[in-house]
Amino acid sequence: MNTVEILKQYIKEELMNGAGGDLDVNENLLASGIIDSLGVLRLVSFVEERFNIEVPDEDVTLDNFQSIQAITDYLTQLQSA
Amino acid sequence: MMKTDVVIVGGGPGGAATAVFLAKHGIQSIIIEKEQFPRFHIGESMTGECGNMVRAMGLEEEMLKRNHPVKYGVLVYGQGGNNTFWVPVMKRDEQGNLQDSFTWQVRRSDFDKMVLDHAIAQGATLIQGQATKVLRAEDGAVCGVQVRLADGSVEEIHAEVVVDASGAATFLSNAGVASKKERGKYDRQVAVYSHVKGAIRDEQDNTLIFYEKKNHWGWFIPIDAETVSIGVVAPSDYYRAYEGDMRSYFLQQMHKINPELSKRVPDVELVEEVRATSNYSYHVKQFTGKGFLCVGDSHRFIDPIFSFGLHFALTEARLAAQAIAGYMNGENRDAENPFADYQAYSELGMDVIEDLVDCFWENPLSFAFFVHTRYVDDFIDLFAGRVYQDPPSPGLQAIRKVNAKARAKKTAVSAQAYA
Ligand SMILES: Cc1cc2nc3c(=O)[nH]c(=O)nc-3n(C[C@H](O)[C@H](O)[C@H](O)COP(=O)(O)OP(=O)(O)OC[C@H]3O[C@@H](n4cnc5c(N)ncnc54)[C@H](O)[C@@H]3O)c2cc1C
Repeated sequence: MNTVEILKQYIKEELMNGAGGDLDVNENLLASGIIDSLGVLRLVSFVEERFNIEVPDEDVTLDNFQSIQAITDYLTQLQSA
Repeated sequence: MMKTDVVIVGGGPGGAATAVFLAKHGIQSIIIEKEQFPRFHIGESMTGECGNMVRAMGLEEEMLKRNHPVKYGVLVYGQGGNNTFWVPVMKRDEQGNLQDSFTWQVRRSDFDKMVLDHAIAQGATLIQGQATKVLRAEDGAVCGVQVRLADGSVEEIHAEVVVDASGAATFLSNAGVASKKERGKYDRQVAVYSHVKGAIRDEQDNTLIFYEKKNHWGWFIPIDAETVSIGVVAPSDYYRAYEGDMRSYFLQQMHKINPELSKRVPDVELVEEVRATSNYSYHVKQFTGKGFLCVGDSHRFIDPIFSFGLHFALTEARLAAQAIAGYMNGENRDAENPFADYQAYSELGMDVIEDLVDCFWENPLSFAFFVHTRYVDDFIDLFAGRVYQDPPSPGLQAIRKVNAKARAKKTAVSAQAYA
């Protein structure tokens, strides 16, 4: 599975309780009410565990975690740094 | 003319506590207070360390006897009542481990009078009147104050040290002794508040904070068995745009800002007038010098969101008493500023809280992640008011990194706008 699919699966199964059809990668997860900010926090922890990274303190921002695309971009940037 | 060791302007918690701690060092003081106590004051929820200052003054038993609602923590509700976080009041034991603890929420008219009476019982003299002028010695050092007494007569009080504890009146700054008052970051805010009876309370009487959106929030603070203090804070522009009087604004906001607040106040009776405070955020940067120092609100107030006003008034009272005791024992007698260390230390603590508040408003997601997940214990320490740690805890460093990044981004954005 690629990053996008891993994230989609986690969000659907763990944060949306299996609800929700297709998730658009650009959909703003918080603003659209798909998950709440506690959900985003779980997402941060999940990303850390699943991809075996530590998100630096200053990177836990909405910009980096607001959509599946944003997270994917952030991970690419982190891994190439 | 009267003479004493230390004259304290203001008999609120900062001034009265300074007198209590000075008495422990065997130092005499005169407190000047213009209001007749008990008098109304806002600022009713304490941090854990603030509770410990109350204990250090020897007042725990009295507090429990008076039935001030015990506070075990603060519960913050996010927008729409979601995303709550809870920070318990915990203390550090001798081994440095966190232990359950509690602090209080108080009716200030009662609490402030209790502390002032305690100061008098410890030997301080209370003079009812208003400090109007600063007296200076030939070398320019501050050496006392002039007071207008209740009967209109004027009295001079000479002292080795003048302590300004005049609160938002910022006596020494206005007198041109301490530096000018600068606007604080949270200056364009209005708080509107009252006391209510009939509110629905939780099983435990904790301090509740309700987030509506950036710089728009409310509080719910139980202050006795029947009464709860409720306040709503919003940007000044938002408040000005409301058409109607303050009371109807207050009632409207109480039901509007957060469902977790409105469900607790379905049918309440207002038992205090509705009051407002605006422009409460300011900073006096130079607040010590030859013959004087400031404590509490008389030099800086940041923002009420996490209840740090009483905390700083009382912790600084203790620090100030220590600094004055050293001075009376011959320390720093010839220094340009005998209280420079006290000033630096006080600023350090207030800076930490400003960082905490900045992070909460500017980057709520990072804040939530740190408080919930990554730096739980460090945030318990910060909320308790353990703000003088050196070196800074990882949690505080994280806050500072996030704030620095937000500032850099803002600067970049405005640079772009002007390019
Ligand atoms: C909206 C709002 C909400 C707040 N909520 C909280 C909270 O939940 N928890 C908390 O801890 N803090 C809170 N605060 C802050 C708190 O009210 C203050 O920080 C605290 O009262 C400071 O104590 P102090 O002794 O420095 O000053 P004060 O309590 O203001 O005492 C100053 C005293 O000096 C007297 N005085 C002034 N000038 C003179 C003069 N020239 N001569 C003689 N007497 C004089 C005054 O009459 C007064 O009694 C809040 C503040 C605001 C604005």
